[in-house]
Formats: sequence, C-alpha cells, structure tokens
Amino acid sequence: MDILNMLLQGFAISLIPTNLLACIIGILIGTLVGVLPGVDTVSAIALLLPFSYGMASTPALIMFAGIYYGSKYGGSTTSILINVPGEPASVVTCLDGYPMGQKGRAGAALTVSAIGSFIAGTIGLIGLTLLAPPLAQAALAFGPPEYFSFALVGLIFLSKLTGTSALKSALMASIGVMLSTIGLDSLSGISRFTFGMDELDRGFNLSILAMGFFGIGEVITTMTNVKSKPKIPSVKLQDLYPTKEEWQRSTVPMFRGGIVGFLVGLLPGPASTLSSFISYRLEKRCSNNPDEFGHGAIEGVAGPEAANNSAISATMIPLLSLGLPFCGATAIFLSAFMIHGITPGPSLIVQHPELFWGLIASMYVGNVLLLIINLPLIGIFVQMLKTPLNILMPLVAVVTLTGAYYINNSIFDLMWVILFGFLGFLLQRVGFEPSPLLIGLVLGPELEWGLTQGLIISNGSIWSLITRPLAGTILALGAIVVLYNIICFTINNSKKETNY
Amino acid sequence: MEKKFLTLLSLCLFILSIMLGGCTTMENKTVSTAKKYPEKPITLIVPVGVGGGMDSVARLLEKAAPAQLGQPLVIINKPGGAGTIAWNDLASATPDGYTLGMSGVEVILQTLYGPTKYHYPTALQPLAQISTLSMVMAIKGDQPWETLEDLNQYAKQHPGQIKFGHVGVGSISHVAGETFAKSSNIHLEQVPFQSPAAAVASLLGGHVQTIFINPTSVKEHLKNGTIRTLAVASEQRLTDPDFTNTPTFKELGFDVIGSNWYEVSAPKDLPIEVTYKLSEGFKKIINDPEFKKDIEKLGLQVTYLGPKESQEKWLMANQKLTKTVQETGILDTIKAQRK
Amino acid sequence: MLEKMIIFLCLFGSMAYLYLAHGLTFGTLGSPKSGFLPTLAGTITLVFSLILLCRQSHFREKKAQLPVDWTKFLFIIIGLLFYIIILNSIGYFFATFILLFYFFKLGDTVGWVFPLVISLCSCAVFYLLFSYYLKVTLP
Repeated sequence: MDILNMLLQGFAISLIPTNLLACIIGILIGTLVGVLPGVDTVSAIALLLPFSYGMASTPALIMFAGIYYGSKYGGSTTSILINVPGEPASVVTCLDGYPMGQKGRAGAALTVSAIGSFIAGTIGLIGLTLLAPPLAQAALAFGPPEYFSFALVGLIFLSKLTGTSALKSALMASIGVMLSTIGLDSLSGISRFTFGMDELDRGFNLSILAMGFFGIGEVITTMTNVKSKPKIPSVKLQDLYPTKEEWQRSTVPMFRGGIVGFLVGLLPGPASTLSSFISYRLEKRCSNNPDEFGHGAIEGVAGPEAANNSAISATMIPLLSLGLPFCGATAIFLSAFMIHGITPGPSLIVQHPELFWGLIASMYVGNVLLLIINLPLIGIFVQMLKTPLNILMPLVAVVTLTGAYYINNSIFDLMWVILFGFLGFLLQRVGFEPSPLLIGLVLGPELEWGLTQGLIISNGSIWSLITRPLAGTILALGAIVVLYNIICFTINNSKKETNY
Repeated sequence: MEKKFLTLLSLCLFILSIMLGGCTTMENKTVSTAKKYPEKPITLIVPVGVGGGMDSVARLLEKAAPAQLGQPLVIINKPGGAGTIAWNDLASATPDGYTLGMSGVEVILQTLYGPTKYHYPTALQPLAQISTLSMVMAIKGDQPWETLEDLNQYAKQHPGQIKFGHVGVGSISHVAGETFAKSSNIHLEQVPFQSPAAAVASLLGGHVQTIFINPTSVKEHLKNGTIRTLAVASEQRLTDPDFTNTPTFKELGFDVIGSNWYEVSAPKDLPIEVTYKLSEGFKKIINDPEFKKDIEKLGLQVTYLGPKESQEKWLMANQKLTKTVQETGILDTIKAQRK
Repeated sequence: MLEKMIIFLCLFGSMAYLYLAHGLTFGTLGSPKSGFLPTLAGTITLVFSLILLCRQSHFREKKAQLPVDWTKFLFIIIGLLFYIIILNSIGYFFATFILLFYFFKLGDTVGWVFPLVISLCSCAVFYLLFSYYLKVTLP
C-alpha cells in the first residue's frame, strides 16, 4: 500500500508539465537513436549531458531515462525494414523481422514489436517498482563461478539459433569465441593476436560485426541479384496490423520474453542483447513449428523485442538500488545522475524519494507515450519500403558505414564492416548463419573472465567451482537439456536420414 | 558494354578523388602562426569510452572551454587498449596545440609492461593536472575486521583465504593491492574484474574479501555502511567528508602506491607561446569555483598542478613504478602470460 | 565449391590462430592463463572444420541458389574499399556523394540527372543529421 501511495505521488510529479515535456523529448530522441544504426544510447546521452546542466535534476534524468528505454523501441525498426540492427539488442530481430518484411508483413512485425515492447516494458517496471531492493541483493549472489556456468550453458544453447546444420552453427560460434580473444586483455594484461596493431587492441565490437554481416551483407546480396528485383508486395492499410492468427501466436511470447528479459537484465554484462537471444531460442523451443524460425516467424520478433525492453527496466535495478552500473548505458546514466549532484545507491529511495518515484512513474508514462507515438509511425516506415531497391540499398550502405564510423571514430572499423559484409554474403550463400558467431563474440569474454575469476575464488579447484549451489544448478540444468537433445536426436536419426 | 562503362566510371572516380585529395592536403599545409592561437576548435582525445570518471571530467572541461580558452573543445572518445590507442594518436599528432588528450597513470604503466608504439612519458607533455584519485582498500560492512591490522592478522593466520579484487591486471588498483601485500608480508590472491562496478558487486556478494578501488565507486555504500574503507593510498587523508575517517596506509606504516590522476596532455614540442596560453587557460578553468563544484559532484577533488609540476610528477612516478612493478612481481605475472 | 573454400578458410584460419596461441601460456585447469581459452577455441574450430570437410565429401547438397552477378559483386567491393581510402582525404561529404552516385549507377538507375540529384540530396541530409545534430566528428 505504501508503495502504491508513493507511486501515485510519483505520477503526480511525472505529470508536471516540465517533467512530461522532458519525458516526451527523451523518448523522441530515444526513438531516433534506436532507428539510427551505430548511434547508441551511450553516445546520445553523452551528447546531451552538456545541455542538461541548466535543467533541474528531475526533468533531466527523466529525459535521459526516456532516451534509454525509447531507443529499444526504435532499434527493431531498421532490423525489420532494411536488415541493419539499429541497436545491438535488435540483432536477433533481423533473423525473423526482415524475412517478415520481405513477405509484406513488415507492418505486422513492427506492430508486434511495439506492443511487445510496451507489455514487456510494463512488466519490467512492475518488477522494478515492487522488487527492486530484494532483487538487487539476489543478483549479488551471482558471482564469477555463476557467470561462467551461465556463459557456458548459454554458448551451448544459443549457438544453434537458426539454420539447418548444428555443426555449421557450432563452428561459427567457436569462431566467434576466437574473435573475442583478439585485443588487449585486462584479465592477463597483455595484447593477444594483435600483431602490434593498436587498432586491433580494442577488440571486435558486436555492433560493427552485426552491421557488416547483416547490413552490408544484405546490400551486396540485393545489389548483385541477377533476377529482377524481388518485389515487396505493396501493403494495404488493413495489412498494416497483425492478423488474428498473428496476434494469437505472439501474445504468449511477449509475456514470456518480458519475464526472461527481466531476469537476464539483472545480471552484469551485455544484458539486453543477451536477453533477446535467449528469448529467441526459448520461443523456437516452445513453438509448434520451429522450422519457420529464420523465415519470418512472428514469435521470433515478439519474444526478443519484448525481452530487450524488460531487460532495460531490470538494468535500472542494480543502478538505482546499489549504484552499480552493469552495462555501458547505465554507466553513462550514472554519470548523468552524478553531474546533477545525485548519487544512486542504497540510500536513494530514502534521500530523494520524489526523484526516485517520479522517475519510475515517468517510465510508465513514457511507455504509454511510446506506444502512442510508434503505432502511427509504422505506416510511414512501411511506406519507406516502396523505395526502389536500387535507390534504397546504396542509402542503407551509407547509413551503415556512417553509423559504424560513429562507434569508435575509426576508419579502421569501416574496413571490418566491409570485410564482414563480404564474408556475411559468402557465408549466407553456403548455409552458414552469422548469428552464432555473434553469440560467441558476446559470451567468449564472459566465459573467460568467469572461469579465471571463479577458479581463483574457489582456490584453483574446478570441482569446488562447479559444485557451488547456484553454479551447479545452472550447469546441471544445461546438462539435462543437452542429454535430452541428444536422445531426441538419436531417436530422430533412426527414423529418418538427416541432412547433416 | 556494361562492364566497360563500370570500369570507366571507377577510373573517373579514382582520378577525381586524387584531385580532390590533393587540394585538401595543400590547404592543410598552411601553418597557422602560434601567435594567433587558438583560431579553430581544439580536439580533446579521451582514452576511455563515454561515461565514467575521466570522460565526465573531459566533458566538464568542454563546458568551460569556450569562455577561458577562446575556442570550444571537441571531444573524441578513442577507447580501448588501456588508453594506448588514444595516446598513439595524440603522440603522432602535429604539436600545434589543436590536438590535446586526457591522460592518467596508465601513460606510465603501459610503457612498463611491454613495447608500446611511443614512449608516452617522453612523447607527451602534461599541461595541467585536474584531479587525483587515490585507491582505497574497501571491505564489506559486516566483515569482522575493524582495522587494517585485524585483516592483516587474519590473513597471516589463514593464508590464501583473503582475495582482493581490482580492475584489470597491471592497472593502478592492482599495483595498490600488490604493494600492500608486499609491504605487510602477506600473500593475497588477486582477482581481476572487468569494471569498478563488477568489483564492487563481487565484494558486496561476498565473492572477494577486499577490493582496491577508486573512492567514488564506494562512496555511497560507505555512507550507508554496507562497505567500510580500511585505508587510502594517498599522502594525506582525503578531504572528502566521507573519507576523512579513513587513515592513510602511510599512517598505519605501510608503503602502498596507488594514485591515479586525470590531466590534460599534449604531444611533445608544443610552441612555447601555445604551451603558455593553454596552461594558463586550463589553470583558469580548473581553479574556477564553479568547475570545482562540478568536479565535487562527481565525487572528485580538484588538485591542480601546472605543466612543470606535472612533468616532475611523471618523472617521480615513472621511477617509482618501474621499481614497484618489478618488485611486486606484477611484471613477471604479465610476462608469464607469454611464452 | 564455395562451401569447400570457406571451410578451408576456417581450417587454415584456426591453424594460424592456434600457432599464434601457442605463443601464449596455456596455464593449467586450476589456473588458466592467457592461452587457455584461445587454445581451446582454436582446437574446437579446427575439429569442427575437419568434420565438416569430411562430411562435405560424403554429402552433396543440391540447393537452388540465387544466381549472382559476380562482376557487380567485384565492383561493389571495389567501390566500398575506395570509399574508405578517399574518406580521409576528401572528406565525408564528397566521398559519400561519390559512393552513392557510383552505387546508383551500379544499380542500373535510369538517366544521369535523377541519381545525381538523389545522391546530392541524401548526402546533404546525412551530413546534416550526423555532423550537425549528432556532432559526429566526420572526416
């Protein structure tokens, strides 16, 4: 009751005109940031920090929060329309969102992702409102051994996202892990595989690779297509929104994605990206027709897009109640707090209740506003697809390259984008999927850090590492599912001759 | 036919670009005289990504620059390689005062661990120090140890039980931990973490017993009592009211090195007039009361040093750290990673 | 054919990687050093590519593939590489303009004026958006 009361006061604060205006500005910028590939939340907030010096702290922070969660709404747009992920968290949306667009269901995909984002965002917020302090404490129980188990199990499961061949996917995933070891490693203090090139010291960036594989790869595929350009079916107004069947198929994934995203979001690391991958894998497993995944299954858009939004709310929990930024976007958010003279932490709720509850209430308001803003935009975005491909694709190439340059201000990165675009095109032709490679890249460092730290903590004994209660549970669950899969595979194998 | 056309097209492109390229390089060669400096915006390379202490400080400089330097600062973030990517860019830039960079203790540490492209302490010159950060030794609030001595006793009786977290092998927080272990004659296992936040989370979760970390990361928890600080690696106690009760290692009889700093540097051989103008400009910015207030909001304290004093500090730190990384075995740990 | 080439690429890539990883200390299972994960990942990649290679000679996958205009492919790659080379010397605006126009012509757009105008306009829009509003320090 007390919480409800506080929340109501928060709503009163968040609906003050200045705060409401700040919220609207924030979500508009956030949507734009999400739509533009390469431009991420971190740099957008950094860019706006100087402008916020003159603002009072509450509206300024409400605006920054708006950018943060607003960007995850926009991220899916470019994934669905032009196969370029607008945000790392929307990489997985390319897998099914883009095929849906090709089939003329871009409107449905965009609608589902907007509504999924809204539902999951609200689920996440309810979690944030009710359970922030206890959940933050629970997240602390996750130590390095648990991250190691999590990453190991994750790598095994997520490596086979789409595609036909488990072996090819596994090969891609292990190449991803290989790529992740390139660069200066602060675990050992040395540079690995850099040949003395300092640009390589930075290591590979997920966004750069994803932009190459998906964005430039798609540009090459489309532009080199000999056959007459694949005509995207023109979209009628009633086709803009999902059909009844699509609604039915996507409702459950939205909720499931929301819950998964929230739980993953509590953990350090690239939570929102990881949550979308996990949700995708989960939907594929739960689906009645897993073969459709990768060819435009609506569940594959609804689940991940929901997951990355509720992950956003969850990442706010460690930030607000412990003062610990677990990912890049919350780190800059922390700077924004501190520049306005407020340090988030255990005493934030007590010392600045009006700010805390105002901020949370504004996120509820912002989520509703985002839905209202995004739904009409879908119609406009879909119109964009009417642009002839020979005009659209060069523009996609330029947007991708500029976005990639923006990430590190480095021309060297552009070379990688082009190289990976080239590779992505060739790989796709012979049935290799690039997405497991990205998974390997994300989870490789987690695996290595978790293992090394975990072993020191458990005095160099691998046995005591894997028998810690939490780590053991995760590993055991993983092992059970692997065994189950092997059994299913053998049974299936005896039934029919599988194509490797 | 089409092929021919395309070949022709790309040839045209090539010629055109060479012509255009030639034009622009010609323009760049017109050297601006040092007297009129600064005539255009000054680039400030920041060796870390957006967010975090050093970047925030750079952005505060950006805010104050137009009024005091006469030109705006343009911030470029070049993260990665523990700063080396940014400093390589800085060291290879023309020393005309239009390219500056933020730097810290890593300028010295990185050159000690292996061959870097430039020897930063001699290839760069400091213009002004903005703030220093001395590492604190923190433990979880509910641990039984009240003082550093208690922890020391415990570590002696239970060898291998105390593990300390820091933010990366070879970082200053690692150096602080190892120098402490050496000067108190105990063995502490080191656990590297990805970020200060990860280290604090592991401390709060009870996965490591102590961490060496910059004061700002634990300030809120210190107020709240969830974390206590045992000692700080500075010469004098910190002036921040939350840390005035934390004794220095020196008071307690330990010789611990662990200070990082934020400063503005330039490539070596800047014209004297430019150096003068810049150092005076930054002096004004840094000593401005409003800037001080902003810095304090970040949990930092302004400790201004001019170019000369900063250069002396580099020399001192270089000598001291060269010895330290050898004696504490940090250098060996890093070398042992390669065959 | 292409598939075989890619698998060979993976094979040689992982061998080169393993050779380099050999220069890093492996450590033990109890205390892994910097070469631990690289060696494992490299070995796994090597094994997978070998298995795939063996399988490949057994199975013959017949899948109808989209026909590709390889000349165009070559020209796209040349155009993109070219863009990077000229980007620093002639600046974002001109380089992007040239790339766009080149790509438009490559994509068989009709006429000269129309693609010229489009590339000029979109170039200006991008420049405005990234440089002015987003304050990217474009070359």
